[in-house]
Amino acid sequence: MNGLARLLPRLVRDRARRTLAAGVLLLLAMAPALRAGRSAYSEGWVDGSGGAASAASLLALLLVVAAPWIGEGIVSRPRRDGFGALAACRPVPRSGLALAGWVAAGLAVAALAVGVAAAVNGAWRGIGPPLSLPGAALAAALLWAWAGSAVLLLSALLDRGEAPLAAAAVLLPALLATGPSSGGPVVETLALVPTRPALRAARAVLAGAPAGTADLLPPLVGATLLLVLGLALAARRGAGR
Amino acid sequence: MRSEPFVELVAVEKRWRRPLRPDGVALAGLSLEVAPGERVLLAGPNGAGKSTLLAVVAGLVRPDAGLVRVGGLAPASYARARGVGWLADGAPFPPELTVRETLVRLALLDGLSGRALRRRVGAALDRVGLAERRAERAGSLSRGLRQRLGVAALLLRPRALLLLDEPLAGLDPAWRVELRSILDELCRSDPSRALLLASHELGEAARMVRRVAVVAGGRTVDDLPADADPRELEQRVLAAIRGGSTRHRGSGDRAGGEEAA
Repeated sequence: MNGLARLLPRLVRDRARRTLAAGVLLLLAMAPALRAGRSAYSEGWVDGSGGAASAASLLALLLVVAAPWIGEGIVSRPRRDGFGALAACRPVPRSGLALAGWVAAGLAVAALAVGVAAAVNGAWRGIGPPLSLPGAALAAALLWAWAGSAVLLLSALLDRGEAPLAAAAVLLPALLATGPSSGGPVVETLALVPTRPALRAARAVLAGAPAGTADLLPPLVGATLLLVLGLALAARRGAGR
Repeated sequence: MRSEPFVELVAVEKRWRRPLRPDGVALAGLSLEVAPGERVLLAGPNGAGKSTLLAVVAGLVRPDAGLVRVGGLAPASYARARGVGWLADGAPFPPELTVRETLVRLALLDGLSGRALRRRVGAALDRVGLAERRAERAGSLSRGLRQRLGVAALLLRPRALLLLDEPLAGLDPAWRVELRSILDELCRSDPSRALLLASHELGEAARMVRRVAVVAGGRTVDDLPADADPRELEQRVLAAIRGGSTRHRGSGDRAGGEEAA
């Protein structure tokens, strides 16, 4: 496992370009909301804490979309480019490379969240309470644990295209479940996908408040199940055959 | 007294599932033994099952039936415990990594670090003549240069079992000789090191081994000493393949699983 741990910084560096690009895109996506919040505050329509809460909501939602893109290819890429087979022939656990990739992408997402939160705080200075930077790292870790485990599982199953599928798989049920309650059994089943509690917990910690256990447990349990399944599949299929 | 086989395959079968098409048969009851220190060439036509056989021994592919043991263990367990030297057909490497970075990552997975890692990576690059190209991306290398990079990866921490799939493909004549010299050095440095290589270059590859196992239709159809006259060896391999193919067609199996792999 030592070799895998030493490989970790290189795996984080591999995702630096996507992480930077995602940071720029996230800030661009948040800019209109921040501008609107700033002007509403200056006209006396909202107080600063309301603006900070809406920034936290938006950032959490955007992180769920960006995280799968940053983590794309955890298993499928080494399988395609031959590195998976070379790693599998070395004395490291078969699922080790996938786990190291998952941890590396999680660190990249955490760095992205902290960077964007710091930039938002800069833009929001003097208007309301800032986003918590440790909270941003925690929120990213929680959202990555959930969305990233879905990416890992799909990456072990598919050769390409797991990022949009994972983003859709974790976000669509949450969006559908916000619709009218007469959605029937399908919508009720989709509501079990724990993206909404994950977003609530992420919003809370971004705003510097503790997350409720009821919001933390479902995504963490779901993430653990997906991660274990994904790693087992990666051990079987990660070598390229 | 005959020594215990280091690699043992008994009646190994592997089919590749293909959507909307019949399964491809890669291995159809193949049996083979390789003793410690033995060097064996797998010769046979395209689709005979040679690449699949190597992948099974490396633990990268699970057979559907039969027994496979490497050093007394299941292949994947052996690879995890001791490591296996693996050079895949075409020597694929992450295209975006530089030559040196590729080797550094593999050396880290080999358990090397610090000064030992730098020394081994430098020595491997020098040995395969890629020191000048250390900053080039693997994706920009020709096939022959990628093969040399693959050989460098084998040299980082030489393993007791080396599995090489078409190691001569793309190599120029000088580097074919150099590869033979490198493999000789590896086998001399550890006499129990076993080598299993698949190649269509019968003449050149036979000079690297002691035995030629002829594979056709997913089975070993003959086992020949490699020190025969090259022309005679070629004739005997061709005769074995023809005989094996006839038997194979008669049994109703389908070859072509290697391409499916």
